[in-house]
Amino acid sequence: MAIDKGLLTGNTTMLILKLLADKDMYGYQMIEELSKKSDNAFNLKAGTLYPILHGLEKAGMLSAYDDNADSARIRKYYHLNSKGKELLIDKQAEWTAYTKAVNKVLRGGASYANI
Amino acid sequence: MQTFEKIQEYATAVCDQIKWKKAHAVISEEIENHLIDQRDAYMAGGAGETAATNKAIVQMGDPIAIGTQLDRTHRPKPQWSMMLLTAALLFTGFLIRILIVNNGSSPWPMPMQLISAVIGLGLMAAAYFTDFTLIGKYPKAIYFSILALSVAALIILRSGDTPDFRAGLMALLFPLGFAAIVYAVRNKGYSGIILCGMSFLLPACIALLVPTVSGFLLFAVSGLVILSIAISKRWFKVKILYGYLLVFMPVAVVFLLGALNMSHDSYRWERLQVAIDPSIDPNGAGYMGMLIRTLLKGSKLVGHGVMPAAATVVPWSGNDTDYLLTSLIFNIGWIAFIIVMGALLFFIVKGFLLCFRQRSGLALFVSASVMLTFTIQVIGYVAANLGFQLTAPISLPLLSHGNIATIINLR
Repeated sequence: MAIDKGLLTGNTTMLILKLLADKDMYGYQMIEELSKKSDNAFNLKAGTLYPILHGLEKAGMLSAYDDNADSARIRKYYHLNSKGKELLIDKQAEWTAYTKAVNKVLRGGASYANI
Repeated sequence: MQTFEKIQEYATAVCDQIKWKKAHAVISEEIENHLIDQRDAYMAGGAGETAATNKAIVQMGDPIAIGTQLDRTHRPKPQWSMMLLTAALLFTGFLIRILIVNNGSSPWPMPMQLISAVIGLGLMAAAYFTDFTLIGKYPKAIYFSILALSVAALIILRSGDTPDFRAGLMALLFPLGFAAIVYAVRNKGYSGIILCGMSFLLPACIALLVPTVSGFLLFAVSGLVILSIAISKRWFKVKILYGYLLVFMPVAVVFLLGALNMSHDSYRWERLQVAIDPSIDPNGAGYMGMLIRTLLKGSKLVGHGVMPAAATVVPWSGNDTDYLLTSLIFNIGWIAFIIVMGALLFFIVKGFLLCFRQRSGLALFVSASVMLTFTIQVIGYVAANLGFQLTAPISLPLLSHGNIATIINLR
């Protein structure tokens, strides 16, 4: 099922960081992996991905290097730095709190039975 | 229109939105690679090349919007600390020469030195603000221009029948020209490495024609390091071990032949012995070595040195050019040498750290060639100034007096 773009927008950074937490990747590979891991739910546009990647690199969350590990072409690989790992933990905590709150609302609001 | 041209056109449209030109090469390569991957994936799914390219471009999005977003991230990051350090070293050089020349007797053409420093700083600023990717676009033109300049210097700069030492200063530009060629042939496999070897020979011959052994060694060492970096980064797409063997086997053969030749050449053998122990020939080849060692023996940690009673030192003309550090140690003390070396070491370490932070291959080659030239000059100069006279010192970058050397080092 394709997901509404708006839902993806705010969390793209977290998803990118999570992908890179597993292994170093280049841009195209990230889009493919994200699509595969989400059962084609997340089809990230390259035009959205690169400005985010470059911004994260500038902020020191990621570092980049050229390599031609699995292809004849030299590619720009991204690596998650320790600062980026910390950001991922924060983002994940934020997401957990957010989904918990949304779920509570969807279930009809917070339960006061035990108060 | 060819599909790759379409891809290039898209990448150019993105880059046109990015004001910082130095970021263009890396971004454009990344975007082109992405579009090629996407096009190939669509083609593997059965689409024709043109349709696949068009689909990949549509998938990527509006180039203007992407370029504008990337422009916000990619702003120039001037290396102010390196620029300030360069200016500080240049100023320290002037200061040291004022202090030393006041105690010495060498003529001091101050206006010429100032003009050289200004021209050099101008060239440095021009090189800094010029798009360095031009070296990647016109590597052969850069290489052959450096060769042409060197040949012109060889013909014009002469003392009598032989080329002047100033012609040898052109060797400082050889590593840059060589780095450009390495970049140009990086995808050509083993034949690329052989081409690099061939492009090494011409500048090496010019250096030996001057002759400048220091210039030759500087070029040989930096050339080998640049080539080794390229092989280890798999720029040639060859097996790293075989790549190294292809480079270092001929080097070992040349080195062995040179050593063999030297063992039969009594003059060169004596020069080598004198470089290690100048007392073997105190009034001939070992004269400068002996003079330097006597001066250093009489030097103090702080303050003007004292000459041994028996020794006589005649002021020599090289005390602000080739032997600035020896003069500094004797006149001011070892403490001044330690401070100057600390500043140079800081410059070198920071320079190399910046160099290895470059992810673009071209930026790495260019910065590595500049830093290697700088470092090898420093090592050779310091060794000569501490009494090891294996080769004549070229210059102490930014510090010693030498108008052409100042200009070339600052470029």
